[in-house]
Amino acid sequence: MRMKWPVMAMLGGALLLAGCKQQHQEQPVENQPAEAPKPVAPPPPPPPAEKPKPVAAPKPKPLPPTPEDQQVLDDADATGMTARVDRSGNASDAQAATNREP
Amino acid sequence: MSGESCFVAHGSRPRLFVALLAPALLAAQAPQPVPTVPLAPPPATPPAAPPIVAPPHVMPHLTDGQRAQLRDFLDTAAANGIAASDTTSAAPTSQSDTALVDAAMDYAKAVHGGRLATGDFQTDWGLRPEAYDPWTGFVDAVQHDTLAAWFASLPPPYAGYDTLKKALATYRGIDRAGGWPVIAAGPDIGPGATGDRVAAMRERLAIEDATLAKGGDKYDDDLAAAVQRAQKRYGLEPNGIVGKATLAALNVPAHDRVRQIEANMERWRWLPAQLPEHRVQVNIAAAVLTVFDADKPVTSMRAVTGRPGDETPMLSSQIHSIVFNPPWNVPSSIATKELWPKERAHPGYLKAHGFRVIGSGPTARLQQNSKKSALGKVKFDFDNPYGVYLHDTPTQGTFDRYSRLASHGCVRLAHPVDLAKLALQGAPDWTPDAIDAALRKGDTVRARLPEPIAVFLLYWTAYASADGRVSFLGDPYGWDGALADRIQASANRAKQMVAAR
Repeated sequence: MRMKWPVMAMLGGALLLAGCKQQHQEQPVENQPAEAPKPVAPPPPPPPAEKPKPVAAPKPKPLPPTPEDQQVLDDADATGMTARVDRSGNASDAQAATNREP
Repeated sequence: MSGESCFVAHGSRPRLFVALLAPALLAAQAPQPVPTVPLAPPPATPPAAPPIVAPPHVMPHLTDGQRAQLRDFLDTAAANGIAASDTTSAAPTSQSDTALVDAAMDYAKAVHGGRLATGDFQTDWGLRPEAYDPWTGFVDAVQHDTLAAWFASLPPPYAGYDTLKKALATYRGIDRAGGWPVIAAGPDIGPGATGDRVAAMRERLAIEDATLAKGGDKYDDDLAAAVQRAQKRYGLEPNGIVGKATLAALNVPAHDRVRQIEANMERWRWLPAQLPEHRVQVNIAAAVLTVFDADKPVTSMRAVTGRPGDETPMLSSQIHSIVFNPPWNVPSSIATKELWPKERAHPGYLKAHGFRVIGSGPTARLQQNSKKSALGKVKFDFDNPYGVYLHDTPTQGTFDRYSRLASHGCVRLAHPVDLAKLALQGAPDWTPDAIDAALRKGDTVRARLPEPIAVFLLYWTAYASADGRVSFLGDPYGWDGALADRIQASANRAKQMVAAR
């Protein structure tokens, strides 16, 4: 595979840049003693970031316990509280009487 | 029948039961046309019975006012949840008196004793309405001009029916208005949460719960309380956290709630018009038992009812005796599917759990001795074609759950000894001390009740209180949808039959 000229030029430029930087670091600075720098202790690693403490989700207030009498009534509702309804007086036939044919 | 097998028989016995009931119920359910005079005698009765010649139905003369009353009466079909699918009225399009009275007779039977015909009942819907012929009451009401009072006397005479009727109107209104918003699936919602799902939940809850203010997207204390109220109404643990079960209940469409109410109203119509004042009622869907004395609830307890697939049947019967320290005669289905495989996997399992083989060959069966019996220490016997009964259980832990559908069809009780002492009150040989002594001794003993006690195994998934609060339970057996479909189909059939006459 052939590399095109512009690409080669860019790569060459990049190599030159890298080379410049290395060369600059290796040159001693004028008036600076040429002794080897003392090893410097690496900075202590940053303390590990504290994990966020789990925040307990607030819980709803528990319902007050159902009194036994109320529980029996609730259960009676659920089992089909069969309170009777008086069907005898629910409707009036007075209206019907007025509609009666002579 | 064996009273010591605990399973729901889906075999020949229910069919026999239905077959025995069928002639009487068919006679009661089949719509009777109202002919004009003179009438041909009815078809011959079965040869074994003496011929019964019913008096001919002579059409009474109707006034214009009575015709209008009949039409008004038929217009209540939707309010009672039994209208055909394309109308709200059961009134015929024909203006003839015959069509009008035919429709009124059919509708009166439906309001009084249920819309379903005998053939519409599932085998395990063993609670059947009493036979009812509206003709005599109708003629009397026409002659005395008391049609309104007669109409009013027809629905089940129970507050539970009336409150559901009001609820039906309310939920139909909600349905017509577009129902409620669906809350999107997602993580559990609890206090402190904010966002669109919380806003949707608040809006959703406020439709059924007028005490909750609409608007806002924060899960505050008011919303937590509303969630707890809703959870109670849905038979869920009222923990205030909207998890999967609560979300599912909230997202049931309003139209399905309407159908659920209609199904439960129909079940009220299957109850006898006069219930014994002293009785035991079980709600299979809620797994709860209540004892009524003098028509008032005196005690209640948690129960465990049949799991889906082993449904506890609806039925009514009479508890006639109580067995203390009962052995368990294992139904062959349970032995084959559950116990013998365990024995093969872990030889010695049966012996370790108190089972012994009775008989040999294909008729061999398993019996568990009373000390280790799965029936616990107490069993309540009542005749029924399904082989089910109420009993104690050694596994009390199940009662702590909110969902308690876990049995093979029988009803397990949290406090069976209390119920036994209540049921045997007045039996001189069975004082509470004598019952305790019998339980301690461990012998299998049968105690006959001084008076049989009525027992009703019912399936209520919707019920309403007088203040309009409506409770909806899950429909674990899928019976609500099946029943609502059959009500609709029956109403459609009735409409077609009336139109065809």
